[in-house]
Amino acid sequence: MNLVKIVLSAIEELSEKKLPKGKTAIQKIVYLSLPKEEQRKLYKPYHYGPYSEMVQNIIRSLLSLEILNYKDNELKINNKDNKFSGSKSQEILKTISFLKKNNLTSLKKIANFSKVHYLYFHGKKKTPANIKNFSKFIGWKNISHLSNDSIKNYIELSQKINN
Amino acid sequence: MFTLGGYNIDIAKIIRDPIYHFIEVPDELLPFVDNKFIQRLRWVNQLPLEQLVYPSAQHSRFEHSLGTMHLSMRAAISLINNSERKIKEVFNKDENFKSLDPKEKKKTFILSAGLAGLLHDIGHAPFSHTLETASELSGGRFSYNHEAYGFKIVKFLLEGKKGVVEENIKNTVFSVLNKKIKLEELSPVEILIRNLIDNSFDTDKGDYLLRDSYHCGVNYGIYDHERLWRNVVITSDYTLGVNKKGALETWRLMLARYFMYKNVYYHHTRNITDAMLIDIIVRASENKNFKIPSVSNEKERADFLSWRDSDFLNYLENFKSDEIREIIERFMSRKLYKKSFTLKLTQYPFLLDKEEEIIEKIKEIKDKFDKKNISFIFIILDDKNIIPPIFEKKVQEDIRIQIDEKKSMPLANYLGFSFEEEVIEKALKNYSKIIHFFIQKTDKIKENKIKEKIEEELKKLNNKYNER
Repeated sequence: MNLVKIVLSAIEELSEKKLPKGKTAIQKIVYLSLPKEEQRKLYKPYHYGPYSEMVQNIIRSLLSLEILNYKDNELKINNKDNKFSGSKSQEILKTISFLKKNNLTSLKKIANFSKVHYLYFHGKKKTPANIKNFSKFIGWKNISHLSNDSIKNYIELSQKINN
Repeated sequence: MFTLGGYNIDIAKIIRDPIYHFIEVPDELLPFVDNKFIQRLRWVNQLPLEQLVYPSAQHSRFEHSLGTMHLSMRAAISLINNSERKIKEVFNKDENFKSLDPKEKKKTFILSAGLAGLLHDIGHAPFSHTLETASELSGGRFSYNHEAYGFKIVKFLLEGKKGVVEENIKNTVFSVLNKKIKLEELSPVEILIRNLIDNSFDTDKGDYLLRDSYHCGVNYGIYDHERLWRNVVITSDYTLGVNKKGALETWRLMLARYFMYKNVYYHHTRNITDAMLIDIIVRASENKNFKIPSVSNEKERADFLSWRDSDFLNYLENFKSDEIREIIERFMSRKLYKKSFTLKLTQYPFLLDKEEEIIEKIKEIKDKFDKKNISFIFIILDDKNIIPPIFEKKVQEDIRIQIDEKKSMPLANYLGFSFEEEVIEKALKNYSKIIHFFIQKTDKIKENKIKEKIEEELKKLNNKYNER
């Protein structure tokens, strides 16, 4: 797995689509594109959802090398003819297409979806009611305000995105 | 000073302490304090390398463990007092707690927090962090991780203390200290206690900053512990936070941490001694007789118990090849290597998640130079520990201040220095992991050769991953 390529692909793809392009969105999209064991290894539950320090370090490093720039709260690749080679990450392409197809295009929806996905696959709680009750204790109070049906829908999508 | 009597907790002993003046040990926790695994920590230095810079830093992990126990119980009591409604909800949603009567719930919570604080460092070997890094550099010849060791000892201790403490205290502490269990797999009470001892601001840091500062003879780590830990709350987001009265002290804790890292934990001389000791251990581990005590069975646990700082240095001397002897002599007499050059990992973006390969590559080069009698050592340090706290994620996002019953906000927002992501990233773009290289004697020609070779090889490795 080449995590830098995955991060770069996510940034490149998002800049071409009508989707959020900030650091938080990149974190979630990379999370959703990784195999489960990598999700578990790299990500922790933070205030805005699953968060990886490694992904953050990669973004910071690419900014330091001026391969990326951050303007108007959007991350962009500075020059498409940059030093990076190879093809785009297929996992990122699949994730973005899945999010668009299922109308998960706002940052709030992507973050909520990632949170439910995280608790469903990596926590002990599997039912909508359990996820709803437990989420606030991990700092994700907004999930506990969602209806059981919404959580159920996110669980079904979670099962589909990994197929 | 606080009393545990109001919570039906009897005090078995009161211990003098330079930071809190008195530490109260509850009846239920005394057998753990007296246990030989905790008593062993008296002979393990909290800052074994820093004492080569700050000679009075001779304090032990034992007193830090007592201090963390004290602060953890102090904080647990504050949570009960300050967040009455929320703590009831947390207790009632927890399988281990919900069937207890209200008084027992509180007592069990306080004792669980105290026991977790007391045992959190129990797996520390002599020169623990150095030994951990050396094990990563040893190419699999030995392995040591203080948390994994600690958890094995905790398991052994708790299983052996049947009837001493309640089952639900044992179950809670067992899960809190088992880092293989991630936050999302814990129960609500366990999450709260894990956050109390291991979080953006926690009782572990809360104690070691004050204690290390005191023993080093510096003022960098000081904050008002009474003010802070009296004002911790469960926020409206159900996270561990502080109320408005505690906000400035939380900020002082973050500043204290920054100052301590800058001046003590990342002191340049301490980094050199760390790299030298790592080099000694890695070289010694090449001998087939090199073995570090494990804790999986009774015999190994007995070896671990007698393993102290001085024993470890004596043990290393058993492996007296010429090179090891020379470095040990230099280390003991404080004739240290000299700072040579540094490389930033940001220069090699495709290697950011490939630290093991970087280490392997540098070791290969080091071996080649060693054969030519050109000796260098290195250490990787993470700049994230010396980010100015004003820009830290902990301050900007994670630490929450409770404003009123329904509203909490990040510490930075409350104190009036909340920044856009873009501003933070611009400010922090040069903070990364850095490899520091040290050499026996300053020799610019040799140093340049080493630097050029390492840069060339890392560049090749970076390009290899770019092309994949």
